[in-house]
Amino acid sequence: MNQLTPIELSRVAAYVDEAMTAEERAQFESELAVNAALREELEIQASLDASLNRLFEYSAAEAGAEAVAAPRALASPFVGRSRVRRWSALAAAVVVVGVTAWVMTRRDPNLIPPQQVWANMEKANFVPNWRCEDEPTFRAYLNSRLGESFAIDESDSLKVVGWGYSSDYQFYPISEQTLTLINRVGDQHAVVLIDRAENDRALKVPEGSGLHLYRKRVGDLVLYEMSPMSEARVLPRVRS
Amino acid sequence: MTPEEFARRYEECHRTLWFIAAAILGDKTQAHDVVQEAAAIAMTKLAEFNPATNFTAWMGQIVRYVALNESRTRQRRRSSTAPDALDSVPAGRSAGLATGVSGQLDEHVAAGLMSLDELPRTCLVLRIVHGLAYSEIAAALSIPEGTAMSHVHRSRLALRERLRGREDELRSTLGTGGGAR
Repeated sequence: MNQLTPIELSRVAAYVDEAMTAEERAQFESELAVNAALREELEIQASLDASLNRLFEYSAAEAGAEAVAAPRALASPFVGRSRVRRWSALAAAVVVVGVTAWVMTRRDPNLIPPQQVWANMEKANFVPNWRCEDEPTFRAYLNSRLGESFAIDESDSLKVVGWGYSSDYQFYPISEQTLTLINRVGDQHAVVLIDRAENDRALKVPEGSGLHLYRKRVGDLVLYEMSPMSEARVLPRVRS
Repeated sequence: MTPEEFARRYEECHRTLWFIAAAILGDKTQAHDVVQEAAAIAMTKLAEFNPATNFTAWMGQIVRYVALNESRTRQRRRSSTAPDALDSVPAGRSAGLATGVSGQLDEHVAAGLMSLDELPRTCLVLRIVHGLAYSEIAAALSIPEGTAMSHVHRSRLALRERLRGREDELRSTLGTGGGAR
C-alpha cells in the first residue's frame, strides 16, 4: 500500500498526463527508479486508464447501426416544431445517414451478409472443413484465433459439427477474424458466427429469408446463431 | 458550407463528438443518437457556420447542448420514477457503460467518473480514452488549453480519490487484457 503525499500523487498524475516539462520529467523518472511507492501509484493510474478505456470502448459498428435508425430516433425531438423545420431536419438526417452508410461500406468492401454465409454452408451440405476433437482443443483454437474461449455443452439433440469457411478467403460477415461453427440441432443445422466484440456489426437477416439470428456476448466475444429455428438452441448452451 | 463538405468534416470529427456525448451522458448507445441529432440540427444551421472558425468546436458545442438537454431530461424522468424502480440500479452506476472482464471495478470507476462535473469529466475522457492533445481538447470544447490541462489533472486526482481503498483491485486488473491503448 503506498503512502504518497497529495503533492506526490499530483506529480504522478502530471507525469501520466504529460503535463510536465522536460526537466520535471527527467527528475521524476530518476525518483521513479528508486521509489517503489511512486512506481506502484503509476501502476494504479495505468489500471485506471485501462478501466476508462474499457468503459468507453468505441464501436464503429454500433455507430453504423445507430445511423440506420436515425430518422426514427430523430422524430420525437422535433415534435411541435414547424413542419418545414421538421422535414428539413429529417432530410439532413437522411444525408448524414447516407454518408455514414457509404463510409461504412467503403471501409470494408469485403463484407457479405449473414444469409450469404448460410447459403454457402447449405451448398456445402454443412460439411465442416475441420473439427476439434475435444474441449481443450476447441478452446485452444478459439484462444489462438480470437484471444478468448468458451465451450458448448453438447446434448443428445445438440452436436457441434465443426468449423467451416464462411466464404472463400476474401469475404466475411463481420471481420477477417470471423469464425464459423456448424452445429446440428436434431435434424436441423445452426451456424454460429464468432468474432471479437469490437468488430461487431449488429448483423441482421432480411425478413422473408426464412432465417433467424440470435446474438450473445461472451466476455469480449460476440456470437450470432443463425438458423431457420424460431429460438436459439446453441447459444443457451455456451459456457465461458 | 455545402452538405458534401459538411459530411466530410462531420466524418472527420465524428469520433470526438461521440466521446463528448458519451462522457456527458455516461451512455455509449445514447451518445450515437445525440451525435446524430446534433448533426441533423447542424445541417439546418449550415448558413450560420463561419468557415474561418473551427468546425469541430462548432459541432462540439451543439453536441454538448443536445447531450446536456438529454441528460437533464433523463434526470427528470428518473426523479419521477417510483422509488422501487430505482433500487435496481446501484447508486452512481452508469447503466450505459458496458463492463467487461473487470466488471465490478469498472462499475466503481464509472460511478466515480460520473460524479465529476460534466466539463472536467469530458476533458478526462477526451484525453485518456480518445488520446487528444490538450490543444485539441481545448479546440473541441472551446476552452483555453490551460483550462483543458487543469481539468484533466484535477479530474484524474478526484477520480483517484474516489477509488481510495481499491488499490489492490486496481493493481490486480493489470494484465487481464483490458490494457490502455
